[in-house]
Amino acid sequence: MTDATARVAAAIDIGSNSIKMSLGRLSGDGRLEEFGQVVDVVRLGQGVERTGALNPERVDAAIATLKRFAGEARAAGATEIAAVATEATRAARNGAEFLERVRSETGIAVRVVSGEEEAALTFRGLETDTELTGHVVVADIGGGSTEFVVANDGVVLGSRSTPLGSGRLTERFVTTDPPTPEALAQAQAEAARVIERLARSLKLPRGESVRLIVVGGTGEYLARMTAQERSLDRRVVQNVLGKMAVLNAAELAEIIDAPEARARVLPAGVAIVAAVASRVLANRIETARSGIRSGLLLEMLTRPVSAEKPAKTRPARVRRAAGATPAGDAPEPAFREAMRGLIHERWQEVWKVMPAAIEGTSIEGVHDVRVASRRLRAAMDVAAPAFPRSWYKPLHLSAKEITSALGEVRDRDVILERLQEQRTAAPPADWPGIDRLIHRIDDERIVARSAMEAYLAGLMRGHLRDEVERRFAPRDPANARHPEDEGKE
Amino acid sequence: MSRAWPVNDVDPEAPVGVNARKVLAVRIAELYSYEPAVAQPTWSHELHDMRIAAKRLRYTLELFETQFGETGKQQIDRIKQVQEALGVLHDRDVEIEMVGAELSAAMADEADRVRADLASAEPQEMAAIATSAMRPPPDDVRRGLISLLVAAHADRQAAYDAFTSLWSTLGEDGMRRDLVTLSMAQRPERLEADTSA
Repeated sequence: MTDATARVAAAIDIGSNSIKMSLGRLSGDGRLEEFGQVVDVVRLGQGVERTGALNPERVDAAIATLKRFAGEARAAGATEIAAVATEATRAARNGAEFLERVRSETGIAVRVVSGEEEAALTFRGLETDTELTGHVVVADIGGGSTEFVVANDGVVLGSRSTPLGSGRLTERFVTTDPPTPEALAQAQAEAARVIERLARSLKLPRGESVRLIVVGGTGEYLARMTAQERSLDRRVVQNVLGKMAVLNAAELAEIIDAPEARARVLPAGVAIVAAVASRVLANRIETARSGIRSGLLLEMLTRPVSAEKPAKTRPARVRRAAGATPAGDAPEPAFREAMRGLIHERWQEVWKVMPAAIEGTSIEGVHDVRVASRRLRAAMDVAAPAFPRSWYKPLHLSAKEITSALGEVRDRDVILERLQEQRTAAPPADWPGIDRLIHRIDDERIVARSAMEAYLAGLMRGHLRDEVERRFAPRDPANARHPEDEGKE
Repeated sequence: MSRAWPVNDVDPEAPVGVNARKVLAVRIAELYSYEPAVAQPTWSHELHDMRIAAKRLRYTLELFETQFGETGKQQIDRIKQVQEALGVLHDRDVEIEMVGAELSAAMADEADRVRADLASAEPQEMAAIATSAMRPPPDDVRRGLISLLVAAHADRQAAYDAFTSLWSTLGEDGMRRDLVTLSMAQRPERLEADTSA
């Protein structure tokens, strides 16, 4: 076995506010040792909220930073460099173009991680230097998104990514320097609204015993402002937010010892912390350095050198058996790529029939979505081992939810249709009883249908469709590997 | 509803056919694990789960249609019949539950009404209230609900008989054998024999 302790790796996190790099190696007892951390406040996500695209100037700055980081990493002996890009690149329409430039100009293949994957990496990294006992809520506040992880005694119970970010909220609400108290209140209210919506799908624990851990620069700078190091009183956060309205970015930058560009987005970040803290009701707020780079370093350094696969196991290989392909035919496609195409087709079938179910002119509309979603699930059930769990599982769950969300309506549609037929054939003396049942089921159906319509309309509007396209749409036939799988194997 | 049985040894890099057969083998085993329920007319939950297992098997055959060819299509037709027969049975079970719940509610409403009438009645009115309670009017809501319940039970029995008859016929026709054969890897010598035939 290769001596893993001799290996040095570099992990780069391309966020909406900053680009950060950590170098790391494994100590003799297998613990991660990080050193050589560097940060550049590039504000890559600047303007994405407004224009939907990365600003060319910010892209140039990011590439210059990445070139420098790559040189420094190699000079420090790093044999492997992994980089992840998060919300700004995920959200921007020219994100792919940016990644291609990074690859060609710096030699770094950047992996764009989903919010859920980002949360999983963060949690893994956090475990390296934080005891995660008890009920824990981790909030990784970035410039463009905040990832939430809920865990109990180190076991992750769920994670979600939300479109809350210090940079994003700054662009929406903060127009003055220093920000007005009203702007900060609006930012906090918006954060509270998003968190409340999140609490419906991710069971956020609540109470004084819950540990709220804020990860990322916002937490670090907040601790610097209060000199309370890694544990803050909940009430202090609200006080700090109040102070933000009297400090301009230059003054704040001096206090937190950070670039002015970073200080400019800190008030909105603190507004997010205040909103999370008042939802979770934790007495104290712990802060931790961003865990995503630690997670990445662990991923690289625990991967056996001789193999291209990470230590995280995949099922044993079954080599293509002789005779499995009929003589003279082209070779069969590999399962993963074939399933990607099939799953994409199945999702298209679901999207195609969904408007008719929402419209509700025929009961067959709901039935068609149920059938299409079951067919999709059949495909996703069997393909689960072929894709990274971090982004696959949420999509798989969405497919299941679609079937379930329509079940109540479908059951009532079927029985109402049958009751109408029975009423027609029944003697008039039976009608009052049948009518009573019809009315009750019809009332239930109205309630179920209203919930179903809201759910389906939300799906049509939301990010699910984009995510499905990103993960499963066929791309670049010349290249057997799908861009979304880069770095996953 | 039971969860789909996991297919543990799927290999993402292997050819589709190799994995398709593995998945099919698991889905066949999943369906036939419910066979003991076929002879138990009152095992509604298990029969419903059997229906879901039949759907999963059918969708697997459809998903890998190109791998399983014509024989696969014949199996899809058979499984579809099983799924539909069990579907009618399930619909009747749902109906019995809904009608039964409404009848219970109607009975409770009537009991409440009689209690309230008796509580506020003069002594001379009580005999009439009792007579009325014991001889409901011809258009009492319970009448229609009881008729529905009787019909639902009769239809359920018919649906169960139709399903068991179908299952028996498909068994005699060798459905299980054909499915299992389809899930087995085709050997080169069999391919050659097929080609020369």
